[in-house]
Amino acid sequence: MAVPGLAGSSGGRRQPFLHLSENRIAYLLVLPTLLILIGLAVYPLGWTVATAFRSDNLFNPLAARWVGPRNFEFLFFNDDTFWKTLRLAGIWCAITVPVQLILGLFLAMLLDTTMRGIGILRTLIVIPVFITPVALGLSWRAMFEPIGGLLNYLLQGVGLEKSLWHTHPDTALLSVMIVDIWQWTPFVTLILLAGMQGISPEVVEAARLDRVRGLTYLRRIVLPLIWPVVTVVLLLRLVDEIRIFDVILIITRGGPGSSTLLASMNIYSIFHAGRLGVMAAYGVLMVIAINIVVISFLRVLHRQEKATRQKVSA
Amino acid sequence: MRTPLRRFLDVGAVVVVAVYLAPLYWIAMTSVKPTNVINAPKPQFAFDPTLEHYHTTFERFDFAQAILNSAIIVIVSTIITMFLALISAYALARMKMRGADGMSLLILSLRFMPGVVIALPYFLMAQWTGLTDSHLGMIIVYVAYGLPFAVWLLRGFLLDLPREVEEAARLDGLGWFSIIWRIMLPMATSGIAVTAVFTFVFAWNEFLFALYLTSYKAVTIPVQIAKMIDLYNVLWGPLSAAVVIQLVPMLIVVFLIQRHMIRGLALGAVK
Amino acid sequence: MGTDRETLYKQSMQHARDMRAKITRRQMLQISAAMAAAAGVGVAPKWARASDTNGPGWYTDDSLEGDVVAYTFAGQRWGLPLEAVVATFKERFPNVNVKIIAEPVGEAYTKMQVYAASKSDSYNCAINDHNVMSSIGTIGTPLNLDDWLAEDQGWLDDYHADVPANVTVGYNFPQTPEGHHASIAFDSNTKLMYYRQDKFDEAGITQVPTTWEETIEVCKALHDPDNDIYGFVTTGRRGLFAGLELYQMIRSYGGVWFDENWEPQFNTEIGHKAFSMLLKLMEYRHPITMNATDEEANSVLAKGSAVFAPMEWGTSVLQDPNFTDHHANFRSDVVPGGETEISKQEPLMGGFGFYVNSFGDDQRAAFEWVKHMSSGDYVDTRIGEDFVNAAGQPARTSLLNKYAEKQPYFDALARSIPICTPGFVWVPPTFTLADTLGNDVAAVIAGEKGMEEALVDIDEAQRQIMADNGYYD
Repeated sequence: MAVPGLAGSSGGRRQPFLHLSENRIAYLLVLPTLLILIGLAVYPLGWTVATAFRSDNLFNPLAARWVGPRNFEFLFFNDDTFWKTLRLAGIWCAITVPVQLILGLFLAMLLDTTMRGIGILRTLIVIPVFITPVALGLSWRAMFEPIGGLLNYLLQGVGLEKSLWHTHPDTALLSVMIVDIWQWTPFVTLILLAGMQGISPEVVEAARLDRVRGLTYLRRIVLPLIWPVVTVVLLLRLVDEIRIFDVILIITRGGPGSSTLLASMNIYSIFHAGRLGVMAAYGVLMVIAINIVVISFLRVLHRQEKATRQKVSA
Repeated sequence: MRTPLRRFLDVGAVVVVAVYLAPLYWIAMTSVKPTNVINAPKPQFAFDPTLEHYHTTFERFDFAQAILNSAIIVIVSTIITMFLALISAYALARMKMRGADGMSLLILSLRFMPGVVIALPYFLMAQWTGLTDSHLGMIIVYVAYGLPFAVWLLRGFLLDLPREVEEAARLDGLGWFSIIWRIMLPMATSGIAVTAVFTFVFAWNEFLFALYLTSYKAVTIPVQIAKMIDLYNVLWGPLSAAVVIQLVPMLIVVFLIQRHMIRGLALGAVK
Repeated sequence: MGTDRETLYKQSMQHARDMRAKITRRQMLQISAAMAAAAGVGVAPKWARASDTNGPGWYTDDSLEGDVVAYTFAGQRWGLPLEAVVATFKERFPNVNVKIIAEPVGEAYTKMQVYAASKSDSYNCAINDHNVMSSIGTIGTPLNLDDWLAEDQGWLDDYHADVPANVTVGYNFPQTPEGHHASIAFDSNTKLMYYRQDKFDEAGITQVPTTWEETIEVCKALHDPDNDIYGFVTTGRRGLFAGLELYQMIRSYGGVWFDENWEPQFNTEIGHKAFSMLLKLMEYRHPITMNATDEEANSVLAKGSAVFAPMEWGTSVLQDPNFTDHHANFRSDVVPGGETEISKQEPLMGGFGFYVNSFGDDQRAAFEWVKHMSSGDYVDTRIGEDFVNAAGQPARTSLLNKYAEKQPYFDALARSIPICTPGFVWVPPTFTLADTLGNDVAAVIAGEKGMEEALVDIDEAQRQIMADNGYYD
């Protein structure tokens, strides 16, 4: 059912509305969205592609000129940070997305209850999502501060080693990840929770009678039923994590050295230095990379989904 | 229905949520600390609370105006986004549509462009159209920013709904908008609520576009908060106070929507 | 591309090239000394004569109407002091409205460059660093103020007598003594040394170090990591921050960024010496140093875990009782030099001017505002007083001296300004040069690269940027 394109079963039956076929009406319904999105994407895309082949300095616009593919050559062969930032982005997504999903699922299971006051708990848990990353990042940075910060104070209080957190190349990436995971796990939780509430009480009751519990319940009953929602959450988190920016900008701005210089941060620092051509070239490469990642990710998910459904029906 | 395990888990839920939110407690505490206590060598837990930072936030940083701007921009853009996303998601998820898959992917892919790269072209576009530093300009940008996301989320929720009720409605001869409005909307309340909340949140938190596209008439909360970072010191007090202030309306909204989500569940159970 | 702009651009490039040949640092110092002498003789008595707050330059004009939309950086040093002088401005020009727009400081350079490059008319005056003058100048953003300034020769003479010539030249366009006034200096800064007197006393240090070699010894004596006391802190973050740290060291050892043929001069004997010294200092660094910005460095100084910052941008916060309990112990002095023949104490110059946007409206009103808020006691004593009370850092030497008791670091600032040197190179792509330099420096500090390798890379990268901007054509 979740495989797009299979929806609708009333065939080519004509509707009274303008006597259009279902297919046409569907297109009409999507049209405004497409118009807005494409309308706002044409110029930025065109500008980016054109600028990628120019040497254009924000601080010296009059010296701009066409340079062909040189910006790409620079990124591939001369830039120390380009490959590193791609690697870092890979590591970042490979850790933050699964951890958010697992933690989010765990929290959702905990909060999927009929206890009194659960509304308040569910409200409270989403607070991190509502704090603008600018303020949140700064507050966490103050807590990370290695000598007088709260976290090391607490660590020492319980007799553990201090950490250098965001100030050392070895721990900086992990520190920023903690903030990101902390902020976005509740987002995953809330969406999964909404999915879980769609599971009909009869199914839950049947599972209870069959004594299906814990992980088995999760794996055999819950996950297959909320799979479309899980897919969407994974995808949206993935797209946002690949382009992660605000929180890194505020906490480390890519440092120490280049240890937290993820793709968007690197693009921004190139922009900050005024190198519009290199920035645009990077942007073009990034859009291509994200497309590849997301499409292959969708393929895997669809295959997974079919397998899951077969298992359920078996 | 409430097993001992479930009761144990409920207590666990309260504890986990409390621990999870510990950093917020620290931020709230910072908002009422005198500045030299904030800059004390070790974290301080005992101090004379002060409200001066709240005063500064409103007086010096004109936070009331920022809240108003954010509210106008975010509420209007969320309503528009939700309307457009709902009809699009319905078409993509539940109607017989050729190339629905590709269309969905196209919509999502328009969000792949890193915001950093398009901030400058957006600024130029805003300048040509005279929409720099206007609520309208920000609303357009946030609708475009939130739409792909909202379409995908809603499509996920709509795909999940059972087909029978809709079939019955079609046989009864209901039109498309009636089906969306009278059948899908009530059935997918929780999904719609969640999508709306997060469309809202993304616009509420957005920093980069707001930074480049506004200067004073339409300045939003994140940009106003960024002004509390001085080159030589961070104004921790006002910053923390701002976090607390901006959270209050959000919490009320979410709490109200939570109740809708529970109602949505009840309606869904009737089906 | 309009031909007039093209010519302007070529001219500015030529002027920038000529500048190095035409004016040496010695000449600049001579000019500044001569100006200072003139100030002592001719202008000072006028201030003493004023019985009320109005100075000889005071005039009002209620026929002038318009809106001043002034872009500035958010924060203690810019936004607030400017707000503070609006009151006196309104007394003089009651029909001009002033709107101060403070931009978040971290992204302000880039954002304001975007506004300038797109010829935005959404503001009519704005703050600018002297380092971006050649950049916004070639775009044609700052209005030539010479004609309007000539209407009030007394004010202009007073300004030049009060602000050293090595500062004011940076706000000319082109940035030479012959260039026109494109911007007026109202705020000043240099790199300064901050230290804790009580910690110096404890460690038995009686003299403030004047060379980096002495500085190392001081760091060593203060360093006590077991008790969470660190002997050195600076801003090691990638980009501008780290770049300027290395450049400060290079200037101290008598080095330059480029030679007269625009060949980068980092992979040189002086470059090696300066970078090695920076890395030696890093042995005593506070952990935050490796990725610190100014506010992070100041925060650990305020908390007391760092006690010595020999090259920190001048700021009032460390001597502010509301900010730190150690305020009474913080002292400031001039940044050290090296111990070689050509070394000298030469702090990097910061500070800001205000220009009138040639694409904006109500330019005359904007001009009067720029002139008013950069005035000293010549127009009204309240201008300087309000400005300093709101934690402003005036460009005028007379104000720095007058309020040195209120802001103790003004003394070190006033001593640093006449000997300071431009923070970056005065060419349009200057930010690109500094940012790129800093990325390599930070890579070395973080242990990602060796110093030798980095110096080779720096020269290559700097050369590439200059090539991209047509400097070797």
